[in-house]
Amino acid sequence: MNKIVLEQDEYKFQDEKKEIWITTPKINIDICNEVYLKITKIPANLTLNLQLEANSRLQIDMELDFDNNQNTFNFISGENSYLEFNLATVFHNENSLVINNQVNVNNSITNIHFRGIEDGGKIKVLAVGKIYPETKDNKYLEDIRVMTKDNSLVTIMPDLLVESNLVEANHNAVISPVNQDYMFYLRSKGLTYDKALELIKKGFLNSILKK
Amino acid sequence: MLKIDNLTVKVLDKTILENFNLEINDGEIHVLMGPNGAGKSTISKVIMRDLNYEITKGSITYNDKDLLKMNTTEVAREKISLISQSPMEIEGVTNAEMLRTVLNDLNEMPANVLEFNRNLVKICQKLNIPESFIHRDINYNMSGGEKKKNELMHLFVLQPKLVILDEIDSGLDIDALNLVANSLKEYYEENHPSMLIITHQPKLLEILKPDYVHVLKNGKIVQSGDYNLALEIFKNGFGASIMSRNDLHE
Ligand SMILES: Nc1ncnc2c1ncn2[C@@H]1O[C@H](COP(=O)(O)OP(=O)(O)OP(=O)(O)O)[C@@H](O)[C@H]1O
Ligand SMILES: [Mg+2]
Repeated sequence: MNKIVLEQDEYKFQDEKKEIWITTPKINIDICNEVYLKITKIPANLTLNLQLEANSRLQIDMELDFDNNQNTFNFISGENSYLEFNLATVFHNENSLVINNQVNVNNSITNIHFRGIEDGGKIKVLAVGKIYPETKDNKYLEDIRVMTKDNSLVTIMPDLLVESNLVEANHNAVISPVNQDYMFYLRSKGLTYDKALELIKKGFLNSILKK
Repeated sequence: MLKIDNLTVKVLDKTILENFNLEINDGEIHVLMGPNGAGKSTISKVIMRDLNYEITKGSITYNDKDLLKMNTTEVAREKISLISQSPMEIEGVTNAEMLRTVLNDLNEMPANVLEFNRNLVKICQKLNIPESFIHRDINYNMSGGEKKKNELMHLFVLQPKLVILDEIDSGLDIDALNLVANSLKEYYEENHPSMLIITHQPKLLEILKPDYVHVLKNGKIVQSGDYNLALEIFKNGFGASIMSRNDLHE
């Protein structure tokens, strides 16, 4: 996969598979047909606006550390569009993440997966899904999980504004410490505490990536 | 040798095992039977130092080392392996990744990675599971029977000297059960491990031919015998066998 650096305000992707680095704090991207983006670098204060055209398919995989990040992702669905957004992060210091979805079309699918691992940091996640009235046959999923040592450092605010009856909308949010049953299992195979923890964290992030 | 002496175990203030005794000499195959909820799985997890179980009395030693002073990692590194009744699913961590990490840590990883892979392929063939299992997430989305075979894959790589099998036969179809039992028999003949087998079914024992059979009831071993005791239980259930024991006492 070839890598490109995005440093301007506007881009259009069509039938592409790219690794991207974003260096500008505000960027608008238009998606046509089938696009896969693996985002490996973003500025700490990024606002990314993504417009999915009708019949487009977009998968975004992001695995990166947050350190004092304030990021906003705005997605606008297109008719018959498919969006899969997978964001896996280890976070340090104070972070906020806003994921905004607007569904004002029919027959679209949106899957938002977020996995965060606290590493001495805080995060506030606001996930907004607005499904407009008089739309139909949309599917919408927000699946947000954070693994933490101290639950007070994490806030998840789901905000599903569903104004249509003809939609399948789901929201899961889980904030939990490391699963001790997993630790017991892996240690019973001979792994040290640290190696078991490392594998569990890696698995937690991997579970939404490399699909 | 594993020696469990007068062990009393509690969970959430409820006593599950009381003055439990068991000795397994090197190379012996012991079977633990008993009604649902008797505490069979509990003993298997206590040996692996699952800290959900509180030990209020007694001792467990393995080759004269105090297991109760060890953590789970240390117990595993004494070459003790448990295949539990419901194996954990760990999404995102593959079998190969986990096994490689363990062997690396133990300095048992073959210098040649190909050799590690070849061994895994051989084990998959023996267990009649696809080679793709090597790179699948641990037990994740596997059927009940596949999980048991997947756990056996770990066991054959880790080569334990004390094998604890908690209902390995549940969830296996008849052919799979034969295959699993025969692969365990082969492992036994090659490595002479000690074994503690928990089961409700005759098939595995027909093939593995245990040396001792124990019946656990109300937190204690209430009866011990040889393979014939298992046969009697398969025929008549626990009620009858324990009654005949009481008759003996009177
Ligand atoms: N972690 C736990 N928390 C609470 N109760 C427990 C826990 N583990 C075991 N128990 C209880 O202890 C008792 C013994 O359980 P155990 O799983 O050892 O039974 P078992 O003999 O293996 O039964 P089965 O044949 O059904 O597998 C049961 O009453 C069970 O509910
Ligand atoms: Mg049990």
